[in-house]
Amino acid sequence: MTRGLTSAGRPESRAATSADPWLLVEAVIRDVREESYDTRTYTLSFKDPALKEGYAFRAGQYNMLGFPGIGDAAISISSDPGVRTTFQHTVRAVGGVTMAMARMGPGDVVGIRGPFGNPWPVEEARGSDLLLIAGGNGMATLRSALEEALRRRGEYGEVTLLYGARTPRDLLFTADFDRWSVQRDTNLLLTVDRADGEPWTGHVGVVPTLLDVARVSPETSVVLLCGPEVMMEFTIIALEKRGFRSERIFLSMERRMRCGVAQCGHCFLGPKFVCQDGPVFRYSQLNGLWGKGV
Amino acid sequence: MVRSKSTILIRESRAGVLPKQDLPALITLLQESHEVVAPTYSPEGRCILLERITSPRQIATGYRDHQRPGHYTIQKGDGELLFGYANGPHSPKRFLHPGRLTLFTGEWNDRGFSLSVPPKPDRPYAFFGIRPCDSFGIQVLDRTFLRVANVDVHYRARRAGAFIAVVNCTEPSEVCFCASMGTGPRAESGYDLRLTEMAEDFLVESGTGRGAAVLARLPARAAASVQLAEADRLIREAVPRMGRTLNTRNLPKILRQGLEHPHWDVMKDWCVGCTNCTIVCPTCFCNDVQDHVDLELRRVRRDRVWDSCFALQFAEMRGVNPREELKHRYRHWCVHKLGYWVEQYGVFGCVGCGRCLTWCPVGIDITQVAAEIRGGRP
Repeated sequence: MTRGLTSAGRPESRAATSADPWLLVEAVIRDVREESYDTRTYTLSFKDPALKEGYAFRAGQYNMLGFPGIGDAAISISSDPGVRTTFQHTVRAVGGVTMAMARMGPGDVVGIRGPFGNPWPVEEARGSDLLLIAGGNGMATLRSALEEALRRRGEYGEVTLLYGARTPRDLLFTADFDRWSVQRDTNLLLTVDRADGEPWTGHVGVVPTLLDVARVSPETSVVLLCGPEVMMEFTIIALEKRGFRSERIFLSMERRMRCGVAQCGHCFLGPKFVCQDGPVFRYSQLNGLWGKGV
Repeated sequence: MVRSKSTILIRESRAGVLPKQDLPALITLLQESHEVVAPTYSPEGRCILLERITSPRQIATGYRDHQRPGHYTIQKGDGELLFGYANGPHSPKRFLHPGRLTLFTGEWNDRGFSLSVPPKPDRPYAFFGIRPCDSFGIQVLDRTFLRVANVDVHYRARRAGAFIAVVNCTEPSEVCFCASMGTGPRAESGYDLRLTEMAEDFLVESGTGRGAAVLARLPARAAASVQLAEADRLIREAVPRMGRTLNTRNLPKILRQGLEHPHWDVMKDWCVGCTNCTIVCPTCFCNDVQDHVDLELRRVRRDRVWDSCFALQFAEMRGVNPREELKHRYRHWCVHKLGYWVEQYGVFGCVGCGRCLTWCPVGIDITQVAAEIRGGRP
């Protein structure tokens, strides 16, 4: 990713896939892993050998993923940025593009353009504890940050993941849980909104209630938060009540994204282009811009 | 005024005087290497439209328009001024960022897909007769589509080499407020040639080397100081004759702090969400993409089309709409134009052309809205 500056001083990211950010580039599905009844993780690599080797992204960024003739959708990258030549998208089949994706299997070709967007502050957070808080599909982008932090484990203090889903059936990355939780000073706390008849012996309740049982320190932690907007709203209230400062809370926002390069206007959150100024924001940047029809 | 039959070629000077009857010479020169776009009169639309022209005779001259919020009429004038009318609904946006544009075509094959980008237009545009607000509007659009890392290849293909021949404003309309926005009535930048219409001649000034080269080939004589002074007077006199003013002092901050101002509620029952304002605005750039595929599911095309933040589905995600209420959509547009834009690009997203007032079916006046939020007179 190369960075430039606009006249107004905003950082910009340039798509690695093509000088024309609209051009979808062919990527091949190498592997598909079922995460839940409606969500799968696809391992992809670019067809073009030079791009396959050269493509790099940072945790928190997304690609526009899709099919010429159907469309594309902004999907966060869910894999470790340190793994080169392949990358992963965890996709829930809910719309036109993602339903088409659900019909694809190994060897099939999909279109990619990216990576786009502002990443998680994994560099800034070095030396701090990491508190990752995920709700639902928000776990996908946080998995990328978590994998990076675990690979560079010595650079961080305690790593805590609070992760909630609606029901046990909705939990993603269950195959990764053991690998994550055996790491030194790494805590994984799960919750579901309701057990829904499944065999579940863990915590039941919305994500912010996990803060009551987690041992986390507001002074030494950097918070990375992603989930439905209402979940993030209540989590931030709970965090601030416990003394977490808005400068140390980072969140990944969801808005409708069509272009990825701050030129189509769909993703505006007040003056912010969520596609490029975000999706990851420092919470203090969003003061007064949230939840008011902005 | 005494005029010599013989003309003097201007080589050094950046200002010349061109008799009005010699205006076709300028158009012919521009046509040598450009696709000329100029204001024309549309009998069907009964308004001025910017169109590609093939002959200087197609340029609308001698018309007088009358504009006010929600109102536009036009008729032939007394014949004294060629360009005595203000903007019609079209701006150069229509050519640089067309309402429908193919981003790529291609096809699926057994191994995947291949895509290609449509060829660039053959000839660069020459915009003749646009107003200073519109030439500034092009510079505003540039900031969206020609940014360092994300140059839009399609915009660049249309913008590159475009020649801009502005006509300064001496006859502003009732909806004009370019003087408030600092974009007119005299073009100060972003032009190759700027013309000022006087009683019998145009003062023609060049702003670039390309403009000077065209000026040097015109049957124009050197401008004397009396003519420079006359053109200057006509432009200065246009300022107090503009129908609107807008106080821009601290405006971005005032609007941002005024997001909960009760006046936004007025819009709930006023704005009809028709999207006209965003269509006629010379700087509104919002767009959507539409993918098309043939019946064999092989050949594909992706088009970029204008979209509008007033459309209900504009920001909608899986049934969740961050700006579900019309008052929020109006507020977003207004605060973007006059507030957020400055944070994003360092300039206002409004150039004071007045189009959104005229073409609003219910006559909403952005200058009045801004004044209400400011809490005083404009």
